[in-house]
Amino acid sequence: MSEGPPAPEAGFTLIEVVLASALFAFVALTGFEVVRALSASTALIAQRARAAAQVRIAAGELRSAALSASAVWKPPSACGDAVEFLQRDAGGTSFTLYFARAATLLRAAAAGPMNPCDPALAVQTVVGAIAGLSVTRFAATALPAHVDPVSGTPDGGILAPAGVSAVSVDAHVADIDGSPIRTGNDVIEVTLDADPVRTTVDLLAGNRPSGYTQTLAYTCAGRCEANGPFPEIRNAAFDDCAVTIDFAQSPVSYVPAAYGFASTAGGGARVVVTAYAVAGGYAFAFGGPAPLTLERAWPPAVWPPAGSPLAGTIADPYPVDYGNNAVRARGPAQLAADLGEPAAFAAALQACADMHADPTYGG
Amino acid sequence: MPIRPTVAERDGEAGFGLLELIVCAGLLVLGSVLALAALPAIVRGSQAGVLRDAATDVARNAIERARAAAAYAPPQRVAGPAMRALTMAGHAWAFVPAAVNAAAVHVERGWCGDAATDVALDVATTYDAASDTLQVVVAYPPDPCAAGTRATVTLATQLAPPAYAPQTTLDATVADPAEQ
Repeated sequence: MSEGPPAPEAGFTLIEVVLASALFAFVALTGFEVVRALSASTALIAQRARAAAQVRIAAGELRSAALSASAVWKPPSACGDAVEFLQRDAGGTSFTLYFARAATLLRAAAAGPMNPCDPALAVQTVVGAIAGLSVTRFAATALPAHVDPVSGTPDGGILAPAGVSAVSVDAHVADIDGSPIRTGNDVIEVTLDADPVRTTVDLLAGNRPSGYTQTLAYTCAGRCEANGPFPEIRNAAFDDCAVTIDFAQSPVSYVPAAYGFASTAGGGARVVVTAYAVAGGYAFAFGGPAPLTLERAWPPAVWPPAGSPLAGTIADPYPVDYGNNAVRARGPAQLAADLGEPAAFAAALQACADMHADPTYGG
Repeated sequence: MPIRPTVAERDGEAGFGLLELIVCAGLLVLGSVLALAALPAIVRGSQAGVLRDAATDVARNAIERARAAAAYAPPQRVAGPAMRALTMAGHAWAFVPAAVNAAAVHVERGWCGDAATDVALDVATTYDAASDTLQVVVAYPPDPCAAGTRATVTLATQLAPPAYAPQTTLDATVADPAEQ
């Protein structure tokens, strides 16, 4: 028995093959374009996400620095805007500076104020690519008239202008240009112009002064003549002064610098402040034919001071009266001691007392 | 012994017809075109978080400015014990009950085109004196190319109690050591 002839297999015609090839090419090209576009979009999304994350981190850093700062300000700079933070704790005073250089947001830290233009600054990169950094200071009383930085429309309507009060006091630290760094409730507005969005951060110092002010008044019959810790007012050549010297202390601020735990009656514990950073100084205002104001700014001190039996131990709640969150009233000598210079304060008083006794000055 | 293919098997080897091929290719092309058309929406959708973050920043900034404005009471508010007690009870002296304002976020590369653009936001701020709470609601478009669609970010904060009655001055006279 033999097999029959094989069934005929028609195959594709030429036109079918040509059409199929053309369709395949078209589909392949379209598919390639889809893949290429998807890849490009993925890269763009990833790049934007990275950039957005960097800016978010930078904004978070700025807010965190402000929260722990005793002062936030816009330092003088000839090479673009910058924002600087002053922190005080049991370790002393420190500064952190953020500024832009070569389209990069940089950060530097030091024990004293910094010049953003100083090429020798040891810097770290915070954000790798920004188009610009701008910093604007607003006094609190200007906030009801504040405008949105992008839309330009007023955005302070929630504030009652008559109820807003600005406090700006000397932090007793000189900036790089010699001007006093001030602290209070100023708002520093930082704008980071970066891809994908321009980000604005409003900053307020977290450890701003309580507003407590103690004014010490001292009346002398003339200027002191002795040499001592206040030579600027102890020059015998000054004999044209008025009959009084007003001896006024500028605001003293106590900022918690360290914390500890104290046992409570119920067997629990509560957080207490164990040390304060104290800043203050004295201003001497002279009247008469040669009016002059001089300030003796003492370096920030920590209370209890090092070496004190109280140092490192649980302190009493001084100087805060937790009954009303008030700073307890202190005598001038104690304030001077808190500021770390009790001897200088006593010497100043003694010098003026000596002057009282000197008939040359009407004693 | 060789086995002859059946008729059905021979039919199965006949392959696709041209019409089938064209329909399949057309479907593939249609799918690709749809995928391409959806790309901008996918990109915009992936950036919704950026706008939400921007709206959150606007709200945080509003609260920060409010905290600054209410940090210190005006001197006349702490002149007497009764007024001081009233002042220390909250921050109503610094706020009005409610306010609305427009804001915007500047986008460096627009999603509805290549140019940079400003995306409008609506801000509503309220102050509740009873709870001493400030609330900020920011409405933003999750899809910046469909401005009519709005989502909101809400931040609320209870303001810290006033510290020592602000701007209170305590006077002390320094005694002359020679007279002590």
